[in-house]
Amino acid sequence: MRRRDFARWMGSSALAVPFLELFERDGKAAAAPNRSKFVVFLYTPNGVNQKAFWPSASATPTPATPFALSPILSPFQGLEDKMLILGPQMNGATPRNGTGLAYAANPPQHQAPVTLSARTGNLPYVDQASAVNKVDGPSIDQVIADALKATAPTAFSSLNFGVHPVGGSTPSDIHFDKNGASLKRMSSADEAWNRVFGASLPGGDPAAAEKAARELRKHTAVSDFLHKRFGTIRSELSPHDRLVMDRHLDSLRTFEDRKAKLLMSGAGQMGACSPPARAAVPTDPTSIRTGADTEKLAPFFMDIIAAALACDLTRVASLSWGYPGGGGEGGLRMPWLGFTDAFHGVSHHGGNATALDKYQKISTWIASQVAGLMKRLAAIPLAGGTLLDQTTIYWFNRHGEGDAHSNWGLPNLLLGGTGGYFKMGRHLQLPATSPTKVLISIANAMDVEPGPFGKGAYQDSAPLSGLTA
Amino acid sequence: MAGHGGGSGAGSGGAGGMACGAGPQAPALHARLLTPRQYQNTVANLLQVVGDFAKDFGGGADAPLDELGIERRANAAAEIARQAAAMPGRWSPCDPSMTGIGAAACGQQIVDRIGRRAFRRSLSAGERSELVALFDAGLKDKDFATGVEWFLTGLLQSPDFLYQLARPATGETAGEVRPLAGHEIASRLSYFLWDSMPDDALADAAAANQLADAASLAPQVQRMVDDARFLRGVESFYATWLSADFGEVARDDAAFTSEVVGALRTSLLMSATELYAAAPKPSLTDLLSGHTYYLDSTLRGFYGLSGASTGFSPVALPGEGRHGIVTHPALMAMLARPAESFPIARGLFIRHKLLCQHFMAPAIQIPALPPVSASNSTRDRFEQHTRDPACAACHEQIDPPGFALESFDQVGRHRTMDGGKAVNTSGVMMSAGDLEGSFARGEELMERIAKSVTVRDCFAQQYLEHALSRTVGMEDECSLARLQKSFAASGDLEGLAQGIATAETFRFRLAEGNAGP
Repeated sequence: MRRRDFARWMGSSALAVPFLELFERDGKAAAAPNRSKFVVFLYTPNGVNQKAFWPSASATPTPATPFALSPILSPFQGLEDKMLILGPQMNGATPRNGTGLAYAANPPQHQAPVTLSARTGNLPYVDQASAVNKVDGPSIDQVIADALKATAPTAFSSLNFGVHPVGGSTPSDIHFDKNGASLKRMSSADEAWNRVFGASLPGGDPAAAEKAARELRKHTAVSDFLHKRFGTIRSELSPHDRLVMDRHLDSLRTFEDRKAKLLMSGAGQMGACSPPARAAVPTDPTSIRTGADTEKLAPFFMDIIAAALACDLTRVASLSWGYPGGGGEGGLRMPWLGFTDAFHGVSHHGGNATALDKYQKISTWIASQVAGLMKRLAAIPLAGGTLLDQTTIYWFNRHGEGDAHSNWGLPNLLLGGTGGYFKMGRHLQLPATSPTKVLISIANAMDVEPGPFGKGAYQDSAPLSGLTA
Repeated sequence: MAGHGGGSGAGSGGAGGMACGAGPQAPALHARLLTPRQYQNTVANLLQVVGDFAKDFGGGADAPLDELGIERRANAAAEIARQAAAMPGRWSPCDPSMTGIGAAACGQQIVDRIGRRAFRRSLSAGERSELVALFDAGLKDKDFATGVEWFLTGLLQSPDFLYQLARPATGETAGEVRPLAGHEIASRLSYFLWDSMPDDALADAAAANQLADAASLAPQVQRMVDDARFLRGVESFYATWLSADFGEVARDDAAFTSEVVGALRTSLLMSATELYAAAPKPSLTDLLSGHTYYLDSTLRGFYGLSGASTGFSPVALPGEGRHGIVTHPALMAMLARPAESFPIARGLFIRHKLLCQHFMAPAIQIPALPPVSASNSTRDRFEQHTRDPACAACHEQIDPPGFALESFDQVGRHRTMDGGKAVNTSGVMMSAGDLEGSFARGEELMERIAKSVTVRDCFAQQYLEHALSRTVGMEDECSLARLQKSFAASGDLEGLAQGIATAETFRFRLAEGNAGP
């Protein structure tokens, strides 16, 4: 709904009317059958302890247990029929060198942008908290999000979260818009909750309703003013700066519309779904050192993602754990696992048994978080089944083996019901395969045809064959 | 094949195309976002509202704003407006409850004063009436404070506030080199020298056309450099140059707490600001020499030093081979890993920040390092790393300056032993301008750095890039050459700031024409 349309509403006493009706899109069925409705991208850096990751053959395979879970994948017990493992060829427990998902050319070590955008830029090695990373094209999640704006618009075109996603010197941006500009991730519990669910106002309280109404009038007046400013200024500037203003205005409109809806619907906006309880997440400057917040922050973000999908606030979400490499800081620490070594440090295990064990424990905990998201989605009824049935989750990594920074045998999994698009419950052993094909497959699962995707050695134009049901 | 080493060296001098002196040269000047620090300083100057509202803004001057960036600025604007509306006495030219002036009339005065200062230029009639309309809508909705709040919420999200802009002049021809308008120079000057908006004196000088050429500009620049606010601009440059806004630094040393990290950051920037504040003519050589650092009780406690003070005071660290800011404990601690020093990061710092040389990221598989152990020094472990010919092309240039700093461990402490033997800080500098050659100890390299012309040339370039909010290009070469010639001889840091503020590349722009309706 355009800003000017809801401004017309302001003439009447607005809040008596159930606003939600204005914004319900007609429940469009997917254009084609067997498509995924939701997609979630979960990123981990630093590779995995390969020997402890890949499943092995099951002695008595059944549809429910098609393979025997490895130690790292043990949290997925009971969910095997919703896993599609894109593994390397195996010699017993040992992956065959160079097989599985493998980058066709070695991308710069650690740098995350190649994972979802299938391109590398000459990105700066500078403090990533303030860096402006830009590549020359979008990441696949934003291709999907942009396509959905036309067919299934939601309050947020995507929601991106990160547990301490920046802090070192290696480019750690993963999401890029159609112009290749990086999209930031929410990393604070308060900001994430406030942004996604808004400051919720108690229902039925006239004082609160009046406050919401004033907030909305202020929002409308300020938006009106800003639109006039941008409208005037864009024709006073150079062609380059006009483009800057136009992009700013684009983002501004998206934010304004969403904020207006939030203010207008006031209390009871969610209807059948409700925002999750606010978790008590410790936040203090030492968190990255101690990991004090990670144990609570990651599950809280999963709560928010599940609720956001359930409330149809978005169809595209992502979460990343830590940041690549670790520069001087080493990345995430997980003291509740019994040690304080940082993730990046233990990924450089040099064959040391203690380091390998810690490396495995960290990956296992992250696996438990991924399984936790699946269980939350499985508890939400949708269309005769559950929300998990309609979701595609891609859990992916930048490296195969962290110690060697290898670029093959990437421990990437597709998870969820995927709307029946992918044939799940399998452990594939692939020859050297471009990860870009998987990105295209995921877009196709969401009923999006991205065309040739990526750049240079990473470009591809076809999905990975053999994945679909 | 590994990335090649050595990029553009410093001090190229000379013109790329046109001869220098044949007329001013400058590239096009594009919209630049206020940085988080600039945003906060400006809000404090404009409305006396202080807070870290922009801490999550992120990105640089060219960062395109996504929806999250917009939302953060909207939230900041709303909060600042709310606080300012509650304390109008601090910034408002009038108060309808006191002076008998009507609320609407006071609103107009506020628009005239605050609007002009926030936009950093005079308002057109149309702009003024739109701002007044916004104020009046809030006034009508409830009261004067609401009018103020709505007005400021819109003002602080306006493009005129958030960006530094250079407007095409009516009828300008694309391709010609034109001077910036007075208010555009004023804005650029104050964000460079003071990291904040122009004060009234500078804005008035711009309006009176007193910033039109280098000669009439010079007294204003002198005033601004002499002003205490110049230290804010100095701090901003060094914070960026040294990546000093490091938030989270973890070392495998329980005593290295976040209090220590915070104190180190303050101490590092004080090395610069105290030098500019105290020395009559601060020079780059001073910055890169000496062994006195500003420490407080937290840092004295951490490094095991005696003495006491309230706040930070100068402390000498003799006998450790320290040479000014490069060997500041904060920098050494930052350029390290949790359990070891990190010669590669330190070497890259010297190559990048002091010699303006860039190295491409390695494209090959990085072999695993031997683990940290008591019988292996850091230098030993990294030397094994770089013996591979595929890596050596870059690392024979990167590592030696890093090894030169091996006397400082991962928390910035001095040490004489590592891995059971004496620390070895010898090395050979290659492709390094006047730093080229061998050194028996790291201190020899640091002494050369302190007086090096190659380093001065690079520093001039980096400071110019900070002032311009972009990297230098062909059109900047004439201005840069002039600045480097003068700075190479004098090392005069304030003179360099003044030279940049009056340089052609700072005061002119390449016209691109108007985008049209």
